[in-house]
Amino acid sequence: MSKTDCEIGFKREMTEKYFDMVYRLALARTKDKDMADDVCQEVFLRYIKTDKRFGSAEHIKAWLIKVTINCTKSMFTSSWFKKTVPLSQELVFTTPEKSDLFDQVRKLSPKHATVIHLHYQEDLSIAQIAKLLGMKESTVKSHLFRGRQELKTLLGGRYDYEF
Amino acid sequence: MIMNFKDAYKSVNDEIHGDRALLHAILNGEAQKKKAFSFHFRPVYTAALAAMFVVAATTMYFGSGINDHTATEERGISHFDTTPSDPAPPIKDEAPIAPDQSSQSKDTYIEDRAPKAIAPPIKEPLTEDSTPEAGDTAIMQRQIEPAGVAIASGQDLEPAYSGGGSVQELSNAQYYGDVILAIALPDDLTPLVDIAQIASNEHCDPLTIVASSPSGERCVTLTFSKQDNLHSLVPYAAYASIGEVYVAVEAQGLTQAEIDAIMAID
Repeated sequence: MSKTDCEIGFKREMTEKYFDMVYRLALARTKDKDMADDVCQEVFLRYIKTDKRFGSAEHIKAWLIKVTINCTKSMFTSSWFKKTVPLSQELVFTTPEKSDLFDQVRKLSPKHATVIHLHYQEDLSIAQIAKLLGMKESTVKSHLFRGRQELKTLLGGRYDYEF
Repeated sequence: MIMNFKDAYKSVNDEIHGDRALLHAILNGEAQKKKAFSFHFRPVYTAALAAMFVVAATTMYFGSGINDHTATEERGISHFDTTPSDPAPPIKDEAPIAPDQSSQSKDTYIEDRAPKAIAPPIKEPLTEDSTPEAGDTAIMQRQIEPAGVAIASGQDLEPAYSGGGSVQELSNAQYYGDVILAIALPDDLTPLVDIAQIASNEHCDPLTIVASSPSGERCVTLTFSKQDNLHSLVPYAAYASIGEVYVAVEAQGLTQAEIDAIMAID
């Protein structure tokens, strides 16, 4: 089935809109820029090829987040990922506080980092996160709580954050 | 100073951007799906299967390149091991069978006294490096390559056996046949070889023929070859050459006069 110019244009628009969102989520989970690029590319190639009908932009966002999580899961389970060590890649931030915060969040486990990222960056509720990740809400709450506690420990009182 | 984690985390992420070049590649349809390991399954395995088939076919047709002798040595087995610890089993079927006189009646005994070719006693098989003794002539017979030749027996030089039409196709046999016809054997010696029953082989050089008396006490071995070093290859009591053919005679129980008569070739 050939796609119309309107559909193609809309997909281009959505790709531009959510490109950074997907990249940030992928980076939060994989903690590696190159892997995040790979995931990002894979997600949007799937989006461009899919014939799925989306009801709204939020629907597209939720689908992209779900596909991003699935792609990173596939990468985690691949033998190639298990046998490689990511290179240390420094991202440059405008302030040392931001750089320090990013480094500490990067140390979280993928489960905790994902929940923290979706909750604080994408403003998703616990129910939405549970639906996207296929978890119980209590599990999401637990991950969120443990992630916060871990972050507090990692930050070590240098900065006083209110969660 | 207390900061809101949500705002701080968002400000951090606002400074994180994906690869713009990748975005443009995706938008322009230029992005290719990347994989850590990428190889074309079908061409690779098709080529591998084809190569395996070729190797298997050529190996089956031409062999593995390791001959039996080499393979035997690789297994630690000496091909010519004739040490006493591993003696060859005695050859019972080829042992000479003497008539059991005690179990025969007088009439049958007389009948059995008729001239008959009996193989001389058999000893261990000879090899090229070993020196045969007098009783080894019968073993030499087993090394005879096929031939379709004619041999003369008796004073009248009547051929004891004629090889037949197909034999004439063998150049060696025809060549030897002319020489063999010129050799006269004593009356009591009969060729033991039924030459026609031996498979044809053009490379029958040297050709060995054994003739024996009925009792097996008198035996002569005639060796024919085009090699001028025949005398160094086989034991001989007399040696002569007829044209390009060399003849060596090894005799047992024959007098020197009889040997000289055999070698008195015209």
